[in-house]
Amino acid sequence: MVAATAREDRLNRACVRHHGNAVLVFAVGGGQVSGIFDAAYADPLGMENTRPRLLCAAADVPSGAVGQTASIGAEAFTVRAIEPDGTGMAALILERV
Amino acid sequence: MADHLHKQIRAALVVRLTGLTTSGARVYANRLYPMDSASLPGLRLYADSESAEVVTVHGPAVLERALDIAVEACAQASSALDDTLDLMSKEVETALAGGITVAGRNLMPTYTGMSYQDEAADKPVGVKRMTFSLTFAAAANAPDTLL
Repeated sequence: MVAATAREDRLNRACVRHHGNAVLVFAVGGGQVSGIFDAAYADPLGMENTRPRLLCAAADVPSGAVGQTASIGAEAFTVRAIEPDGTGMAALILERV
Repeated sequence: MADHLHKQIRAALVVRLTGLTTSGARVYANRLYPMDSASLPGLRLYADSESAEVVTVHGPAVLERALDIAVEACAQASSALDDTLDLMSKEVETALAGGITVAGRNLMPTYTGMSYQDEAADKPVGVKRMTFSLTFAAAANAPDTLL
């Protein structure tokens, strides 16, 4: 089981290393999380919008991340939720500041 | 021939609701496509449904019609979204309490309730849907003429 978890972790980190396109930098403490950022189009309740999120290794998410302000490049976001996928990855749900 | 009374009523509602403090000119009747950021905060209005009852014994029948109207206050904001929607609904309810003018006559929409929805996104969005009932009469063979 431990070996399987370690393999999963290596695979997740390789995925982030090869496909990662963003680094989320937290305003307080300066912690960083690398991951795959996307902001797909959505029109909740009939209004044009996007759903920005960062897919990253769950182990890289600092404790107390929810509610923190963080930036990707010049764009600032608030981390609104963490959605672990059960395989060692997690999606940070972001809201533009 | 005049437009169907439904169209006249929708147009009168747009006139009445255009220029409110928060939504300004962003008033849309029967909007099909999503609102972009330039359309927000804005109002969407719909003639949702109608019931009718015959109130005469001779033909052509005169129908008393009760039209259900929905006015949706729509906004997008990172904070105080509910406050913005409450303000918009205050403006809408106040405006419609003065009635609307259809074919030179004043019709009074009656407020019947509201529902609220919000959803997280890049910027959270919310809709406060107010419903009104509007009663009027027209001959069965002349749905374009108010009686």
